[in-house]
Amino acid sequence: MSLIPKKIMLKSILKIIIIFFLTILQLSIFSKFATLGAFPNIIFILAIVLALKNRREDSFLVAVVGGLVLDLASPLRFGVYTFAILDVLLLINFVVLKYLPSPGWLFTFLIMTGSFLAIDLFISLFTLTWTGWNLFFDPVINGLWGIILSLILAKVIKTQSEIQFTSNVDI
Amino acid sequence: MFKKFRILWLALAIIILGFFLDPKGLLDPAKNGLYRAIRPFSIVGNVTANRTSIFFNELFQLGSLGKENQALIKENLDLQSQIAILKEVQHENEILKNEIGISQSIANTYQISPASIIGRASSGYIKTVVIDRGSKDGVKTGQAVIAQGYLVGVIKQVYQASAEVSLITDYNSIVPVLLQNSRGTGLLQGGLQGLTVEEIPLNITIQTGEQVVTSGLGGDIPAGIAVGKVGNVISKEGEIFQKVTVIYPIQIYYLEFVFVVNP
Repeated sequence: MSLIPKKIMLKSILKIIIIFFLTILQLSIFSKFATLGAFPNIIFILAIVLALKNRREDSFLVAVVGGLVLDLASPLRFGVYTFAILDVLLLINFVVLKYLPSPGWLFTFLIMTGSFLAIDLFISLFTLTWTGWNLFFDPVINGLWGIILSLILAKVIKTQSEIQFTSNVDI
Repeated sequence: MFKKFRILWLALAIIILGFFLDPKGLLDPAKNGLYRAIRPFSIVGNVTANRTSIFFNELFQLGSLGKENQALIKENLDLQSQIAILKEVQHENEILKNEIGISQSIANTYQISPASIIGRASSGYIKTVVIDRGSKDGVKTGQAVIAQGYLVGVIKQVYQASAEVSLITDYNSIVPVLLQNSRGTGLLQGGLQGLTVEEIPLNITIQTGEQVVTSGLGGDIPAGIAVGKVGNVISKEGEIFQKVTVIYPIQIYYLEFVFVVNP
């Protein structure tokens, strides 16, 4: 009884450390890979991809831990990034995934692009800044990164249904 | 319900708390700690990230690059690939020496202090960087930040050991400038179309290629810091002010070191 919660706790701590490390990399390295002013937000991409892989808890963990660290380093008011990504994740989890339970690469791209468009619009409205074509270019770049990450994660992680199936077989 | 979404409730509580504590500066120690954590990664990642970034950017700009420029950059990349960790220190020193050399004229007039760029904004259209100098080093809000003798940005927020710099390429950046030959004053603005100088009076005869420097009007930005050269006049007929594009020679994304100007 005591072993399982300890394992889960250690796993969660490890996940938080990895997310924190990824956020540090996002702030120090990934932000340098700009293409015409747009660069990948690996934290948000990871959160959305995990949500699309039905890893709801992991996606929220990435969004909350990563979002809060990004907020801490952001020139915007604290909470804007986390609030934006959590809204998008709630929408994906409770609306999009009901109609598209396991989206393919094209829908992954469209959902990712749409999500980033929503996030960028939210930040644009919050800062009262119109960013012109960058508002559309940034989501497309992140959408493309989303497909790449989604294909990588498909090889690495199991979806919630696969986990369920495996555990049933074991029983 | 609460147990199922406890991480969301926790996040919401932190967001609300942080949203109100942030403007009062109560999050500054946490921000300071985070920037300290970022610093080593930033320094290690600077060379490798710059190298890769330059490579991919060149792919998009192949048409506009001259052959000589390409050959030089390739040669530079080949050389850099042979540089190990120890060489990185040497590389930093060379950049610093170069920066000090170019900024000598400014250094003679104003007190300048060097700083490393340790972080960048996590959104493509919020143009800010974080430097490793803060209030303990005498950095104050509104001070100018230069690199290679050109204005890079203005200190926006100061923490104990770091500071946030709003770049002149940011959409909300406005800096009073002067066209050096025609003596026309205007406002330098960032944005998608690149740097522009707006609100230049109509009676000014603008010369293409003339230097644009800071005018020293308002704020803590001293007069005479180079910003770039006048590109084209883009104002239309009937407008009550003139507007020009500015050719800015600095590639901010590849900067590693900057100088804070203390007027």
